[in-house]
Amino acid sequence: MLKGLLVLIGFQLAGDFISAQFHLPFPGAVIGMGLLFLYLLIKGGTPKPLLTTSTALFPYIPLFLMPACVGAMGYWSLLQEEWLALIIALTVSTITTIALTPYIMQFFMSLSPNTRDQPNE
Amino acid sequence: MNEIQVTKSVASSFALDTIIYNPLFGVFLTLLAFKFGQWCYEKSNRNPFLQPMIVGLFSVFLTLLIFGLSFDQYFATAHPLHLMLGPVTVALAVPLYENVQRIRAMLAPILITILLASTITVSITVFIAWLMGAGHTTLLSLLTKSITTPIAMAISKEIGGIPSLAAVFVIYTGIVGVIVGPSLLNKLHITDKRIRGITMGISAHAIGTARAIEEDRETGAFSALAMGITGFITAFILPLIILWASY
Repeated sequence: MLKGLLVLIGFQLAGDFISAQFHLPFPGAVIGMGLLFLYLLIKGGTPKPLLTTSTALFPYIPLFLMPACVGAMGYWSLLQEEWLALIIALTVSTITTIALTPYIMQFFMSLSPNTRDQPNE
Repeated sequence: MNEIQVTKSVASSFALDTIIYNPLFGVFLTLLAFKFGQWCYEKSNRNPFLQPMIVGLFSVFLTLLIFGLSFDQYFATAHPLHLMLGPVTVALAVPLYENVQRIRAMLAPILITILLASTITVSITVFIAWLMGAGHTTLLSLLTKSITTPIAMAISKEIGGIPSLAAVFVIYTGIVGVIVGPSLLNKLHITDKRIRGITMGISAHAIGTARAIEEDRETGAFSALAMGITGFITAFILPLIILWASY
């Protein structure tokens, strides 16, 4: 657990450094994810501590998201009289996207033959 | 400041203050609210409206209102949990790597789908909001609604939106996504984990990915991938489009 956490924080710090050094709009964590992915590709396997730590952390992602979400709720007052328009616009578009995306995906998957390795269960 | 003074008069006892103003209060409150959310979710036979995070958010929100605490104060004391988002995002590289063969086989369809779906979702949002009379700055802040909060805030600033407003739209989109997403996909009989993951990642970014990885690691991997690529593409293309449109 400790070893895995060390690796994760190490990659995040590296990502933060790159983000700041090159003035990128991407957060260090996203860059860190990319770096770790490359590292695993080169290494050719997931070290056990990393597997243990990531598996232990994943169920708590929603928990870690909560402070930022509550923080954002505090900004609702910025919306003033536009709030109804925004709620309708965001709700309709998000639901439409969820309903459409699978079919777009299925269509383009059917065009390339090597993507049919997983039949619907 | 005003809110803190109100609190002092409501919770007049000094002993109570040591709880409310404790540097760990935010962490405690968030854990408690999340635990309560888990309990509600199980008791309601996993009603999507009563997911742990959703119930948790409203519980924290109500608690802050009742005690008259400011959001800034809460965020400051809940910050240790927020900090964990970084390492856990990095950790998404692990399921991504586990599914690298599958991903490579369908990278082209994934990229095209992300481009199309992101364009559609933003177009619908802006069109409806514009039709209903939303202002220019608000419309600009809507453009980043489908990408993860930190990227959205950075891009929003760059293109003339309001970063905190952009954050509200991102979070609201994510919440709609996790409430509606999995049950809508079930109704449509979409069982392919790759497609479920991609859909959640495109439409509900990190919040959707958190939900996807609850289903299983493969769904989570594809969601993380879609979230990453959507953010990446938006970060590059959106400023260019805005620049081009303003000429």
